Amino acid sequence: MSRQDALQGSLPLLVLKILHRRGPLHGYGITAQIEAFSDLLRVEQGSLYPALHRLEEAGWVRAKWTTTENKRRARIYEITPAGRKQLQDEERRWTSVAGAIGQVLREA
Amino acid sequence: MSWISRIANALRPGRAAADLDDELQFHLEQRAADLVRDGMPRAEAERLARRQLGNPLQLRESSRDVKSAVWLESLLRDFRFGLRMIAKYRNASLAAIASLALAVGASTAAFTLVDALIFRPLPVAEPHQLIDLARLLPAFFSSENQPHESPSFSYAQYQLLCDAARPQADLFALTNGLQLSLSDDSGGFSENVRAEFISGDGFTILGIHPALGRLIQPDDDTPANAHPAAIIGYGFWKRRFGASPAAIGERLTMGRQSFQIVGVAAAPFAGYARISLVDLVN
Repeated sequence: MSRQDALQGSLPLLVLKILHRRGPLHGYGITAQIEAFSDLLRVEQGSLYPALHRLEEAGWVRAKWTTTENKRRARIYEITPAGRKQLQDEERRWTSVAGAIGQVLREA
Repeated sequence: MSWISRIANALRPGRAAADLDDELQFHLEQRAADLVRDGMPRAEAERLARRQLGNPLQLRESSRDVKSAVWLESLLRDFRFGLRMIAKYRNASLAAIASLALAVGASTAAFTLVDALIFRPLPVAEPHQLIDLARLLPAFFSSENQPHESPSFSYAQYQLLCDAARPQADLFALTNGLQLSLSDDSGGFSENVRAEFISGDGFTILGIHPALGRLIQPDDDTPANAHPAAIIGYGFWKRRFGASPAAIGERLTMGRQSFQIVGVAAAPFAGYARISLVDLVN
């Protein structure tokens, strides 16, 4: 299994979780966070942005333009209350699916 | 992000694209800076950062699908393309537009007529209780040698029918609309109008009200046209008399006969046949 495949479908979950834990971040910050946690979960960097925009469209994150210390325009993403709710649901679903698969792998 | 912002992005595609470019550019710079900090030469760091990010065109496409009402964007593009083509082939476009306009106009006119004649109930008190009487004439009277209907009755027949129908029904008599030339006796105007002749109790039976003056009454049914009275339609009243109350009492000559205007029918009633509205005359 390639590294990207491991992330398929779970990228939104990871993004929401990181924004929830670490507070507002720009896109590159999110990439760096995910990679910092795990070598295996290397985000295909480009795919992060369409995913972020889909989350924004769904109302789970909101974005605003800010200026960094070195005067660079950066887009900062922040989780919304609806996003926290979604995060809870997704996390629960992920845990139960992972648990179920684990059970099959152990006992089948 | 809402529908409004999606539509706004569709209307200004350049702006959304510029925002995304900025965002990706920021990513590349940060990435390259991090790599340089880890000891990579700058040129190589920038190359690696770009490779890791992926194809920017493809990113822009997939992000645009999310952020913009794509259907609206392409609709606008089609619209602009259409305008350019119209400007380019001016003569052919004019011909097409003109023939469309004529066709639409003709259909509208036809529909207006059918609507007035068939779909809309007559503006009278009980349109569903109206019955149109006709006689079935034997084949002998017809040039095609077929039995056919005639809407005409003699006055004697009309009186017989009235007596026979009472008290279950009231009858009134009405002529077809006639195109007649009309002028006022002081010579103010002269025009062709459409007139219908109605028996004295017609308006009462139809339940029509006057906008001004009175309507034709049974005692207008005098022999030998002793006091011919005319009701004018509301539109005619506004057009010819400026909706002035002075219209009452004016004399009109229609054909060879003189009539006195005694009233104006209320607005919706424009004659039984309804096509162009006139002047109901007894």
